[in-house]
Amino acid sequence: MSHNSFRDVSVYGSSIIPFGKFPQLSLSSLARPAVVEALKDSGVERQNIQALYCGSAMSGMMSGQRIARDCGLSGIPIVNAENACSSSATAFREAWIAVASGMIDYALVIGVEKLSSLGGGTIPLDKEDIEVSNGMIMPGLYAMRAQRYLHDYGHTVTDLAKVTVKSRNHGALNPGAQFRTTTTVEEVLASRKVADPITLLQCCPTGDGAAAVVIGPSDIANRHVTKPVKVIGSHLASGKYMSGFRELKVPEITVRCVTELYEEIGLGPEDLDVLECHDAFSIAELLYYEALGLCKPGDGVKLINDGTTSLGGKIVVNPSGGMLSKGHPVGASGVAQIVEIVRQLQGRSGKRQVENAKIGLTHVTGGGTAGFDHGACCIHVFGV
Amino acid sequence: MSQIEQFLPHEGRLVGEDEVSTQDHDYKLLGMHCKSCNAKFFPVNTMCLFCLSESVEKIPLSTEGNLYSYSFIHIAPKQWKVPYGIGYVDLPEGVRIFGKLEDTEPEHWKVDAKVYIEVKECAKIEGQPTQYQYFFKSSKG
Repeated sequence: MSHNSFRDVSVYGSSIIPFGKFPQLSLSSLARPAVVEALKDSGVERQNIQALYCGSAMSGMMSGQRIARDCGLSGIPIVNAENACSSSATAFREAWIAVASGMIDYALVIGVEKLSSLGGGTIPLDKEDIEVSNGMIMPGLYAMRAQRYLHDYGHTVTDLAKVTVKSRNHGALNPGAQFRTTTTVEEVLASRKVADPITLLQCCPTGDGAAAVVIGPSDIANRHVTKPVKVIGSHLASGKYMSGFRELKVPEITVRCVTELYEEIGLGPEDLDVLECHDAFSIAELLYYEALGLCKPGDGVKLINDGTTSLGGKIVVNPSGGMLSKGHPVGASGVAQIVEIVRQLQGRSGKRQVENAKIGLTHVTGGGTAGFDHGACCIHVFGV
Repeated sequence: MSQIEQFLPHEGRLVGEDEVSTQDHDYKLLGMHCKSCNAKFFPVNTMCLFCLSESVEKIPLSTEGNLYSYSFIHIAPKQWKVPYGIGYVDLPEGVRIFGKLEDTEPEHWKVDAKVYIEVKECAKIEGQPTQYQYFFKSSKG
């Protein structure tokens, strides 16, 4: 895909609320603090926002309008995006296209989800699906990936548990994370069984959250802010239907999405300083290291063991604590990742700051649907 | 609520008469073969999901396959009785089927082990078409 006629776009302002369980709050009260702060952070007046893009997977109709009503933004064009875990990353991409094409100058993007209203447990999937109607759940899908991964490469459940240990180490430094205490391999493996070999501490928690960003043209960004962060690339892929023997260790949709994106922007994994990937389960982080090209297939475990992806390492993954510790309010996660990477590149990440970070990537994928690796995958690269 | 509806939540997806071969009382799941592009897939459909050809035929699928991966589920939505097992079975036709395992005995299941698909008839309701369900077994019979 050629973007030759597109102009450069930057993130001006960003904000995120601490993730957790807030059953007493409405969807719009969850989002409002993030919207207000992102606007303030962007230096763009509320009345100059020309369109709102809202990503949410399970909030029902008109989530963007409900938030706009309570934030003094009603009346402008609003697009509500649902793409499972990629919902708000997809919303961000649509906003980017609108600004990059020159159609509008300033857009607000929101990611929001209130899972506490669903009563906890695993995420409800489409009951008409032939796998879901036979007992498939998301932890089960990742558990089968893990089972095959451990079998083929000779890794152990200890290797899986170390992903959570690393995640909690990062989450402990993030005041907005749902889990902020460190843990041990023993504790992770002794936690409640969910789907063998996945235990509870290897699953992201359910919870509520919201995040927001304001974007605009790069050439006038300095009129509004001192540290804009440029959108270097954006890519969206949908699942490819297969009836045959899909290789579960290789998340095909992520490989395809990132390969096309790297090609478009002329960058590769070696250029990245920091990234947030879809670590919804312990095994997921390892599979996505490999899919995003950080290492060879089967070598994901090495990156955890030698500290490459931990704070202080060569390429830090999920400094926010990721979904495992920060939380994964499904539709909110795409923009939440973008806020983390933008603030890392601006040097605003406090104790979890990645030194001298210049280029960062965000990656979300999901949507358990029979016949697909996943339903959707959305990846962005940012730079300063 | 009908008996079938009561049955469904604990056991799994109901498979209709048109999705099962009952020849010689040897129950087999039916898959599809596209005569235009040669694709094979599951479950039954009226056209090819790959090339949209309507020149498709039902084929009985093998009852033996390779267990590609599996898991025992301990936490699930309320309708399921936990623990239960799930797995992907690869058939000689090149088709992968998802289903529930017969039991959750750890020593019965291994990655790449040979497993068997059993199709069973569900409790019959007077005047209603027969419904079936399938699951994977670790040994024959």
